[in-house]
Amino acid sequence: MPATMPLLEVTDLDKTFTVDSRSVRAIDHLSLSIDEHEFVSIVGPSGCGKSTFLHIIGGFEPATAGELRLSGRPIGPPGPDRGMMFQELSLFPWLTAIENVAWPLEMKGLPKRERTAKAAEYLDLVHLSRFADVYPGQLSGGMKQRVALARLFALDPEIMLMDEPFGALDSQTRELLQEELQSIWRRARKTALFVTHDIDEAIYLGTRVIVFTARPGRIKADIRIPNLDRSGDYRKSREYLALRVEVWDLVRDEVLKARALEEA
Amino acid sequence: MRINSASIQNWILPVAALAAWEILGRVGMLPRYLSTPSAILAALWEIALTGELFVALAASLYRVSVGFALGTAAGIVVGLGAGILPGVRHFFDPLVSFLYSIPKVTFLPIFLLLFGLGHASKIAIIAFSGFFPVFVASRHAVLSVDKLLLWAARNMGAPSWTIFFRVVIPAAAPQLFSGVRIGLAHAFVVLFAAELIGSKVGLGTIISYGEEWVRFDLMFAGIVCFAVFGFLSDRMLLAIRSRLLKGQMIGTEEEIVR
Ligand SMILES: Nc1ncnc2c1ncn2[C@@H]1O[C@H](COP(=O)(O)OP(=O)(O)OP(=O)(O)O)[C@@H](O)[C@H]1O
Ligand SMILES: [Mg+2]
Repeated sequence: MPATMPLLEVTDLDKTFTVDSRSVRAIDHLSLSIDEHEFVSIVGPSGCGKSTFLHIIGGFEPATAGELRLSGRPIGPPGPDRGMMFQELSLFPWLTAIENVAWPLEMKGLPKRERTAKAAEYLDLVHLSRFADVYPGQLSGGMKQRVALARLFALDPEIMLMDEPFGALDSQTRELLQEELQSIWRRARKTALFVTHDIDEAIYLGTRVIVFTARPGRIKADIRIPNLDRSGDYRKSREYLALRVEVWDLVRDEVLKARALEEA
Repeated sequence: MRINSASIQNWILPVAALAAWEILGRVGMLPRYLSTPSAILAALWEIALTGELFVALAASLYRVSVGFALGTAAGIVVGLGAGILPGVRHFFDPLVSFLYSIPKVTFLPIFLLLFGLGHASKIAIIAFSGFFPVFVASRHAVLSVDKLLLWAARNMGAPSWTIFFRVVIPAAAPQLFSGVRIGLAHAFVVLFAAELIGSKVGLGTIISYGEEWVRFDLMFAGIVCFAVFGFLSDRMLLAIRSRLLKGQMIGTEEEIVR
């Protein structure tokens, strides 16, 4: 294996949905390669194909054309090598928090005692130890997302695919979760694709920010963020503010185009 | 049970109604066929002493439980099958739509001819009528399982059988239970009809005997047994459900009521 091989390589990806002979082009000739240990944020207007992109990588939706490779191997049906955190909640409501987190461990064949111990560790990581035996229905929105995050960590995939995981949360909870995710990520530097509408979040978490165009989704800009120091006043630093303006302008253009497209 | 204003409120109406029934009945302001609560209790006591009551209870309980169990099991198995396999679905859907709206009791003569006047014919028709609501609910429940839960399970590397038993069935369970509950109600309706028309023992037989021999107290005694029976079995079903579906009942109206 050459040292330079990317972890994820997408070439000329096309996706067209056809429903009742009406077709919608969601993704258009998209190419992207992601190295191990990158945290790639994806921003773009609503409906531009971000979720679709993650679903295709996850193996849930077939691509219309194009090639996708993970560590050099073509991507197949859904599997634990690509861990997905969906835009909508996907915890099992009939299982408690800890049982939900232990599920991927059970699928890997860990014996009961071991997986319970490990699941407890992951819950601890997201500060939910006290809620281990509580059902998702009894947890707040932010807590549910933390359980989902712990489940994703327990799955321990090669690449994490996160689709607006904090989208439905209030800004304070969201900021706390961003900090938690950031500090957890720094320990293992697990490769991640992170879709978000929140430009601050994209810059704060990402080592790279990709801006999608309005539908059909293509890459409009690919911005690397070399400085990974997120301590203290990063959110007030000049570098951060400059990035914010840059990404904001790029996204704004596309949001306007997307709106024109919708109204057309 | 703690006595509070809510539980007193719950009892006011039934107790008042019973008292009014008793008093109006005694002073002769009600038609004779309405009997009185005390006479009904006496009639119950009478058939309890002769043992008739227990023979009838045993027969009815046996028929309804076996019939209900068979119908529910068949409804669940075929319904889940139809939910998962398009082939099974395409075979059963038109058949069920065709039969569903026909009152199943109308098939009783056929079942009597097929299985005779004993237990078998009642069990068969109870099972037959219980099958439909359970089938419809199970089939529908499987098809409406949240796609995201299935995706999440596949994402975590679960094989198909695991997904079926550990995701599809638990996700479908709440709807499935509603079907089972309807099936239970149907089972009692059909039990009554079957015992009324072609039976020598059973609660339904007591009721029809009471009507025929102008023993309205006896007739009501049979009705009371039916009501108690139905109530207890429904409560049992609900208790089982809230145990099994602990996580899924959170935040639903029913959880709050309990
Ligand atoms: N299953 C589907 N069938 C038909 N069209 C679909 C389907 N899924 C998505 N689309 C269409 O594809 C386009 C992209 O959808 P997608 O969900 O990927 O957008 P998104 O970028 O994730 O949007 P948002 O930010 O609002 O979540 C949309 O126009 C949508 O209507
Ligand atoms: Mg989306």
